[in-house]
Amino acid sequence: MSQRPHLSTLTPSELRQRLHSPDGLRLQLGRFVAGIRSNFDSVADGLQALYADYPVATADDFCDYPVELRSSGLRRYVRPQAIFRFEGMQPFKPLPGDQAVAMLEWGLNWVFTNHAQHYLIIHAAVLERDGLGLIMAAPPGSGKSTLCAALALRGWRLLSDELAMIGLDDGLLMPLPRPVSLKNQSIDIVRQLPGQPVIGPIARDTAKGTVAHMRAPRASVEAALTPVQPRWILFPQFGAGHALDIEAHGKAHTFMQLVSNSFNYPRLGVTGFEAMGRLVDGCDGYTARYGSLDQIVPALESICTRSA
Amino acid sequence: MSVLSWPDGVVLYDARTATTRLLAPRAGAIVARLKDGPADASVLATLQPADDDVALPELLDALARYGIVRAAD
Amino acid sequence: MSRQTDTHLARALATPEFTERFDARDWEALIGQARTSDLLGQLAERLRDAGRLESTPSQVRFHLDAALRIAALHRDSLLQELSVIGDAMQSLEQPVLLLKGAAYAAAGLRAGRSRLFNDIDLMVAKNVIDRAEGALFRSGWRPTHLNSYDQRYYREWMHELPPIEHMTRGTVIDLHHTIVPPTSGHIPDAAQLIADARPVALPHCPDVFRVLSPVDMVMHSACHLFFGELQKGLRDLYDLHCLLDEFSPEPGFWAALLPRARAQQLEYPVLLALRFAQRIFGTDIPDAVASECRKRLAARPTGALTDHLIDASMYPLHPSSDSPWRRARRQILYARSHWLRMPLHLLIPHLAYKAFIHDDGKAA
Repeated sequence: MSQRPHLSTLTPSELRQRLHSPDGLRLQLGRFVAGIRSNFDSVADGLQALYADYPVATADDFCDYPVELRSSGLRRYVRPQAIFRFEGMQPFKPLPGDQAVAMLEWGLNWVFTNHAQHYLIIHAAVLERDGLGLIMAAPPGSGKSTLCAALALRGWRLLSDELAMIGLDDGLLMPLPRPVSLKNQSIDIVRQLPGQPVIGPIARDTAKGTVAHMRAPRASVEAALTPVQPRWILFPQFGAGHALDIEAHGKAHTFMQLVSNSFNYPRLGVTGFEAMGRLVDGCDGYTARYGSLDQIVPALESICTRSA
Repeated sequence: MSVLSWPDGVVLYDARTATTRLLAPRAGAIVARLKDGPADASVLATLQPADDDVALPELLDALARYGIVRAAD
Repeated sequence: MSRQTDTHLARALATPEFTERFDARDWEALIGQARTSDLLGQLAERLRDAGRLESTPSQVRFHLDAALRIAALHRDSLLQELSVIGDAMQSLEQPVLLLKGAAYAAAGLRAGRSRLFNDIDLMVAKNVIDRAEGALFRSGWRPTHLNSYDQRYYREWMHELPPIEHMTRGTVIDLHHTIVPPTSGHIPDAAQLIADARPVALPHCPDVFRVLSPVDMVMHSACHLFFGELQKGLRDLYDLHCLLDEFSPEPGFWAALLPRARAQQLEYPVLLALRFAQRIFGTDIPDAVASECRKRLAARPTGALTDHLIDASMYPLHPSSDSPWRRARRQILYARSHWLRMPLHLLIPHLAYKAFIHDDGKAA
């Protein structure tokens, strides 16, 4: 699998040709292969910008998740709408055509959340440092994605910006590095960070405001088959003007908070309870309030070391 | 019923109602002890010093209302 | 190797060895068809039982194993639910029949293994149904369709009460007093079905539940398939195939099936069930029964058209097995399946109402 060429080796017309073909463009995402079909030019451009370093599989390789981003028939030339399909089924209502790239990302999140059932899935960003995993769980608007992007640019390995996938049997974090989803002001903040962030197309007026994505660092993509032992759990809360305040968080409380951030915990019964228990037991939990990246980043870099 | 105990509290999973609950350390210690078998109120009282104003009978009542414990006949 | 993929799912379920020479393309079609038909868990189990999981490529096997795990969780959850329902129904002191998936699982039948469960279908005698509903309300279930039109639709025209949902657990129960809609013109003897039902014992559950006798179970499954919505046609037909397979060795089963169906005025669905199970899954049917089946179906004037239309529903709704022509045939059939459930003079106002009020895009 590591022999596969990267998407950047395809010419723009080869890329489009695959997107239009029945087999789709087969992109390797972590341990999975997604087959992407689309007739949107914006999707071709977006993939080129955001997935340049990802391995491309062939039509002879098994595709785990066939998805499609198609502009709706009749309205195609007037105001095109974007329709997302998985295995030919349409799980959501259409969105305005200019949100096609964002919809592909949301669609892929939905597919992994609903069709990768070997995992306890928590809504969290996941990064690796010193061979161990940091899980950052927080509701939207807490600054989690900006922080995630910042850490990734500083060399932390990105496993995911949205989905912590914890193996039900081995308790390891499965990487699924994908573009980091950014909203509103966070787009400008990240754009100015050192490390040459690559930002993809911007979609305005979405249900989440203005949305864009930062390309995952190449090293993160190249290590996407290496799972990680979780070690730290953080509940970050950004507030303008806050002083830095990091506190240890008890395991029982961490447990309950992660449950409320989990997509599929309720469906997993006692298996989910046990997996969550193992996760929490093996990690140190923290809550953190902060007012700027300059406060929180050094603090995390001193907490998240193997020797600590 | 599955129980996990930590210093800051006890987490409980009730398979019958598919609910997960957090109990304070004292309530949690009581439940963990009862999981091993029925016990007298006097035994339960010694498990942990009361770190709140709740009397033992009230605490047991609350746990019973949630369907977590039940008086033995 | 390129080949026709339309029937991959049906053939793999019937004969798992069929997957021996599969390439990636074939596996994609198979997994995709199984996903859209809600049969991935049952496919995985079929492959496992036939010793074929080990030789399945690991990328593919991941999804099969995941489906088995999910199905096991569904099953645990169903058993919990039955325990709670059993407690609620104990005070009735009346037989409570489990129907369909819950029955298959409770009776340990192959059709009940590694499946996903949705609503739980129960049946009680008609004169007990209000008390049964009351008992469930007292245990936390609540009506879902509060619109009085929908309530009437269910109570007067269908053979069940409107679905009721538990207010905290979220589980849904469909409570029936017979096995087909009375307005369909077919009136089976529900009391006879209940009298012949067999008890099932479940862990941590009072002894309240029964399941239909094998012949009645097949009959009901056939009715559900052909009087109900044909959208999950293949899945329902697979259930039938599994039941027929499992009951076939029981002495007297085949001799009793068609006569019983005739006595209950439900012969037509059973004839169709046998025909399609054999055609799609290769179910083993004794020659005498098969030939009687052919004769009786040939005697029906609309036979060929019905056959053609139903056939269209037995393909998974997946790009690898679907086509605009099949979709069109299914649309026609959707209208027809309603016709089988209720007389035309009731059907037309119903469909018109649905098209006006519900913007779900599925009105015929």
